[in-house]
Amino acid sequence: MTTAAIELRGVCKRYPFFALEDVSFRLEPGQIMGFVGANGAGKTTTIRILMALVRQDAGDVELLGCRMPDEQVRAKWDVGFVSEEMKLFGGATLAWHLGFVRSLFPGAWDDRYAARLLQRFHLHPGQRVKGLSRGERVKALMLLALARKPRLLVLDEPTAGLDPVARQELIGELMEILQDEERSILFSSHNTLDVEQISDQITFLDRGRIVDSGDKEVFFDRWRRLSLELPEAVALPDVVGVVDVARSGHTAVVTANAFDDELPAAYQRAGATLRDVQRMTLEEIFVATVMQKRKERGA
Amino acid sequence: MHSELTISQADSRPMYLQIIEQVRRRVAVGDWGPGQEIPSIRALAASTRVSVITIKRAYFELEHEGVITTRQGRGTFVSENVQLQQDLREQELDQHLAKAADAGRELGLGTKELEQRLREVVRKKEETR
Amino acid sequence: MTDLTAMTPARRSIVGRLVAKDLYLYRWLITGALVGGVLSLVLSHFSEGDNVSTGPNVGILLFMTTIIAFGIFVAMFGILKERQDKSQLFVLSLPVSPAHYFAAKTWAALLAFLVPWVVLTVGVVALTALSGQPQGPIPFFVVMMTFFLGNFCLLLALVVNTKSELAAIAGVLITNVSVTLFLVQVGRLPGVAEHRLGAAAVWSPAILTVLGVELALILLSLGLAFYLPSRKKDLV
Repeated sequence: MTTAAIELRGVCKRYPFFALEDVSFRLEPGQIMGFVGANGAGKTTTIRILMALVRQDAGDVELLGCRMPDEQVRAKWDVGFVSEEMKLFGGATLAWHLGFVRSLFPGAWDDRYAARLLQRFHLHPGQRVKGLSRGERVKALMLLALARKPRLLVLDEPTAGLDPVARQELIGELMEILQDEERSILFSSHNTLDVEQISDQITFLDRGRIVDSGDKEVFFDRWRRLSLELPEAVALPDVVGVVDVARSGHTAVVTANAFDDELPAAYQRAGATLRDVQRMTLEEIFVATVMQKRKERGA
Repeated sequence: MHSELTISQADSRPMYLQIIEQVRRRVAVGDWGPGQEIPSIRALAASTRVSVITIKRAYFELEHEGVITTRQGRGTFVSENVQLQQDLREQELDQHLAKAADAGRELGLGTKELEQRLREVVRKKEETR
Repeated sequence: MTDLTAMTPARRSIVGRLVAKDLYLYRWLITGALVGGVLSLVLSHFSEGDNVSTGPNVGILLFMTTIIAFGIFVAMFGILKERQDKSQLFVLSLPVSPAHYFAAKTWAALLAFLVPWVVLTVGVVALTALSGQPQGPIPFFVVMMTFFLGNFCLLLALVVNTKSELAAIAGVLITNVSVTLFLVQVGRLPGVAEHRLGAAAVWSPAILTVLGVELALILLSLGLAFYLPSRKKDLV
């Protein structure tokens, strides 16, 4: 088994009003993982633990095979980290920052790539960091992280606050990185459209726990929404693989997370007419997953 | 290798199906000829900005259908099968005809009436040519 | 692609580069403190009073203010603001351990403060000695300058270890209020007071004791500034 780009095993972190419990997942090299969760779900805390900004109370964290936080310096040579709250030094120019990071990574920094990124992100080296808009700041941070070609990129809300054009440019750059099957990306996002489009793996986080994690295509294959028509008096059977049934008059909407061809047949045998079977968007899948888990927990 | 494939998120069909269909389309119209090299999975992922796993799935299906072949270490190519283009176009036609058959059935038309309507439509098209 | 094992030599210079980075960002502050200090000393030279029986003159007051304000700026804007602003997140994303990061911040702040401090202290002592003027005031001047250095180190230890703006401001207030108290009390000590207007610099036991206590406190503060942050588990 090859070394995972990221591996978390049973990570826990307790705060007065919030706790991360038993967080475990793995990111294989050459893949992108999208990390989805509501505000306060624990995405940022998990990422902080990944980057050794916060020490876990329990559990193991490995970045590129390096134990965190103990071997963090070794790991950080090959990990690029950008978070939306991160800032550069106001008293200096972008050019100064480029020079600063470049001097720290003499072998890894790619001048031509940096120049291309400057152009693509519409940034000017002479700009003072103080005068950058929020979107420009994020792009500048990205540039500084990308130009040294780290094997792993950890991004906390990379597209937040970016205009649609900048978002597309950034996504384009991230996908370019994946042409190298040794390089991996973990990014957290509220924007389920972005996650849906470019992720290979998706992990859902809610209230400090992983509620689901896996292959994106499998997620989309498993989840379906069925529209049924049936007389009010008829009861619907309990079918395995269904997480929610919403009835209103003659219609019933069934949300299933383990869809197969047998599922609609079970309802049809009970007397319902199948009107429609629809795939669900990632956002719908996420909401349904979270609702189900919260119901299970009795929250 | 310039990719002319585009994925739309507005399209309700799954992304891997869109990829499959567009590759079939390219072969069907002759843009990608028999034995021609096509973008690797990762290259296509980068140019369409779609996840690698989705492209992998699409290529897997396409290989299964005999539309493309992967040669280990050499790349991915359109199948050498010269009949392929014809076959794909016929498949597309069949899909259209299947849709027409469904529509006809819903209207309550029998097979003979459906055939008649097809003849009418073809005749009208010949007139306006 | 970086080879992790080959990075070892470069790693050691990260702390150096971080210190250089901070000094670069402090450059205008340092220059301002130097210029302000020199100008206020010139003003003091041409002002009324001997600074002993009549109390500090305008020039000396300005001088003291410059040094104190400079120390506050370096501590508050150099260190505290970076932590509040999350620019430290950017630095911590680089291959540096938290212990080295805080050490670099402390070294840079200390070096930044020492530049004007050394120049002004040595400058005044040398000029007074060479100019043939009465040298009695020199020991007390050195004690005063060392007190400012001590206050700065205390503030450093505070700011490096807490994120609280309140604690930092409290520290600033306490160290400032103590200046007048200190200067007046020490200035009147037997073993100090009687030599201040003399022609020769007298390093009496009283003066040396005060200096000794100041240096001990400086070392203690710096010890806390360098040691405590490395024990921190959560940096955010």
